[in-house]
Amino acid sequence: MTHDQLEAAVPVYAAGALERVERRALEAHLLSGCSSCHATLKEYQSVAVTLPFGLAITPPPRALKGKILASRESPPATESETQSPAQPSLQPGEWMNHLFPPSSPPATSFGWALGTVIVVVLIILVLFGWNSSTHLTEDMEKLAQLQLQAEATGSQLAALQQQLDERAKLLAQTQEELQRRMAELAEVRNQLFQREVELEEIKDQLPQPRIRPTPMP
Amino acid sequence: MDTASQFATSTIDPKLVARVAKGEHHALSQLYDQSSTVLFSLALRILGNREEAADVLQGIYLDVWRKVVRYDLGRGAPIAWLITLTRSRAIDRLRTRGPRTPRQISPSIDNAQTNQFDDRHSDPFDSQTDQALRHLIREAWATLPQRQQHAIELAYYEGLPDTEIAARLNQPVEEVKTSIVLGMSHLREALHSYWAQDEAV
Repeated sequence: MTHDQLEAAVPVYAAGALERVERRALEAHLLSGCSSCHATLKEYQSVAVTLPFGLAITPPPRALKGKILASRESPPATESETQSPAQPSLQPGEWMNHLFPPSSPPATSFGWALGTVIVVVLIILVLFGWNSSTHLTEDMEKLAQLQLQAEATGSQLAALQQQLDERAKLLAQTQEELQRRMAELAEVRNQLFQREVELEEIKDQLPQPRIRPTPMP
Repeated sequence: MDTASQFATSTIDPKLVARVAKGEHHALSQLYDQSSTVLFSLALRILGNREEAADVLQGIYLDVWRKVVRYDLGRGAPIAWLITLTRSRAIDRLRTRGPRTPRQISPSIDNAQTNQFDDRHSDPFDSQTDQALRHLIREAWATLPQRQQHAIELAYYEGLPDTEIAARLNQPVEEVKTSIVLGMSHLREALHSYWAQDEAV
C-alpha cells in the first residue's frame, strides 16, 4: 500500500472498520514513525470518541453506583493488609500506621507509670518515716536522698520524653516522605507496565520476520 | 477550568483518575458521577441490554480502582480512554454472544433525528460544556447522509469490519470505506472549532 492509500485508510481505522490485513499494514506504517499519519489518526480518534456524546442520554441504573462502591471494598482491603503476591506493590500498607500511633501512647504511658510508682514509693516512705520515731533523722536524710533521686529520675524522664517526641516527629516525617516516594515509584511502575504492554502489542503487530526489513547497520 | 466545566464529562481531570488509582474513595465516586452516563449510553447502544451494559461499567470502574487498567496522559483525555475501554469491552461481549443476529433496525440509525436529539432522561451532571459538545456532534451527525451514518454506526457500535458492513448494507466495500471516510471527515471539520476553543481555554 502506498502512503496515500494508508493515509486514506486512517478514518476507517479510527472508526474500527479496517480489515485485519489493512489494519496491520497501517499499524506497521504508524510504527515506522509517519508523523502526518500519526497526527491524522489522533484527530480521527478524537472524532470517534466524541460519537457517544451524540447518543441519547441514558443514565445508568441508580443501584449501579452503590454496587460498584460496595464491590470495591474487598480487593483494596487485601492490598492494604498485607502485600498481596498478585500485586507486589511498593506502596506502604496500613502496617506502617501501626509503627507510629497518632499520639505515641507507649512513651507517654511509660512516663506516667514510672512517675506514679515514684510518687507511691515516696508516700510509703513518708508514711514509714512518720511511723518510725526512733530513726527519724536518719529516715529524713534517706527521704531527702530519695527525693533528690526522684527529681533526677524525673528530669531524666522528661529528657527522654522530649527525645521520644522528637524521634516520633522525625519518624512521622520520614514516613510521609517514604509514602510519597512509594507513590512516585508506583506511578513509575505503572508507566513501565503500560510501556511493556504497549511493547507487547507492538511486537504482536509487527510483520513476520521474513517480511521485516533488514535493519540498517 | 471554570466551575461549569469542572465536573463535565468531556473535561475530566487526569488527576482525578490518578487519585482513583491511589485508592481515594471520593475520587472514584466523582469519576463515576462525571463519566457513567456517557459510558452507560455507549455500552447500552452497543449491547442493547441494560443489565449487560451495567456489568460492563461495573467491570471498568472496578478495574480502574484495582489498577487492572491504568491511565496515562499518552492515552489522551481520561474520557477518551474510558470511552475506548467501554467500547472495546462492550464489543468483546457482543462477540461472545456467538453468531451475530443482524440488527436490521438499529434505534439510532432509523430514529437518528429523534433518538439523537431527544434526551428523555435528564442528567444532573450534564454540564454546559457537555451540552455544547452534544449539540455540536448531534448537529453534525444529523447533516450526514444516512448511508454514511449507517456505515459509521455499524463500524463503531457493532464493531464490524468494512467487508461485513458492505454485506450488511449490500454495498461494495470501497463504497462503504468512502462513506466512512466522508462521514468521519465531515465530523472532524465540525469538531475543529470545538477543539480550537478547548485549546484556547
